[in-house]
Amino acid sequence: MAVLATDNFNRADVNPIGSPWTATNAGANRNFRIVSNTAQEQLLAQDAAVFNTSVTWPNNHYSQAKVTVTGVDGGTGPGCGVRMATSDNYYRLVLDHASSGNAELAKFVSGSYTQLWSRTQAFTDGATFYLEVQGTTLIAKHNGTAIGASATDSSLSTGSPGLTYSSPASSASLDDWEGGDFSSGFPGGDEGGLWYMSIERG
Amino acid sequence: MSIYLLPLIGTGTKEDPRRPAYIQADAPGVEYSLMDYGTEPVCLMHANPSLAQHLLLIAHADVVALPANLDQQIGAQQAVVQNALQTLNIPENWVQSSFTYRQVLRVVALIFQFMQRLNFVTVDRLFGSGITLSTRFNQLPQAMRQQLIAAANSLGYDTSSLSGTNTLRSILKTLADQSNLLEVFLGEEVL
Repeated sequence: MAVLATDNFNRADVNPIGSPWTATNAGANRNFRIVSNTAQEQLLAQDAAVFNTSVTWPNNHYSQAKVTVTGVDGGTGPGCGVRMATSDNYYRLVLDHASSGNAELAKFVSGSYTQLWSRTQAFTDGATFYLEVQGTTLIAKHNGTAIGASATDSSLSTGSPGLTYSSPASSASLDDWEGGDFSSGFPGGDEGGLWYMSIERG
Repeated sequence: MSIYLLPLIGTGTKEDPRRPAYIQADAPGVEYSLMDYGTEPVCLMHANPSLAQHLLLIAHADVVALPANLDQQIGAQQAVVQNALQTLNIPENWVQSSFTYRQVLRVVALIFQFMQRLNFVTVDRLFGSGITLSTRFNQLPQAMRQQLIAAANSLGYDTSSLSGTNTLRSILKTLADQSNLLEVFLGEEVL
């Protein structure tokens, strides 16, 4: 795996969140904002989703962030998204603190919302949640451990990773976001990459 | 644990998401995994309901529960399986009595995967008014013909079956057979 972009949101409060983030839906209050060095939805009563534009994202990628939420509705709260694009296309994992069914994987295809699975995953605020897509396989993780079995879905084939929020919640925030791909890379990190580039350039 | 073939309800809005029918009423709080048939109102669901909840679910005439042992042959149930699939506009004439339920499920799941991609290409239903498994490609509206080809192209499939008098029954099966997916995940089952 290789990290392709990160954002710790440590900057002045701003609304909307701005570059390098783009909302999947151009409607009112569907974006994110920066509040107290975290990423938060613009409005607790409105779903929101933004994708990262720092790099040209490969089709296979992951998205992860630290999740903090107050809410027990089940299938609501903040989370991660993959293969996100405008016109409301994306897969999302969202979480709250309901005693059962608090983790939900869903897809939005041209804005149409389908619940792919509902599972239970207790967690403490600040836990890292992760969603990856490789080919047609979706895998969700909590602090590095899979949340149940993988899922197969063929609706979306391209897009970028990002942040998501499903209303309602009493409060919600995301921090220390990271996105990446599954390239093996070369040993030696950046130096290995430079070595590879030099070979390519002859 | 069980796999069900059942209606998918919901309009896809925040207030009314697309989801398996009956689960909220008959098995509230039960975890499930869903695989939709594109825009068609049908889905496969993997869930772990209690026996009482399972009995409530299968009491609905439009809910089909697969046997717990997916690796048994269909045998004498061949006609039952074919009828269940055909009723839901899922190609069925390829099902043989020697197939296991898992083998049948895998093909059905791959047909569903194609229909999911078609759903990305168009929000229109393939099996709209008057369209059945027996409808020929050249009887489809021009826009839907193009959308089927676009969906097949996006999956890297050969599109030669999308022509002339080929029926949707044969087209969907031919396209599914081209899938290179080694594993299809539905809940805890690998097909």
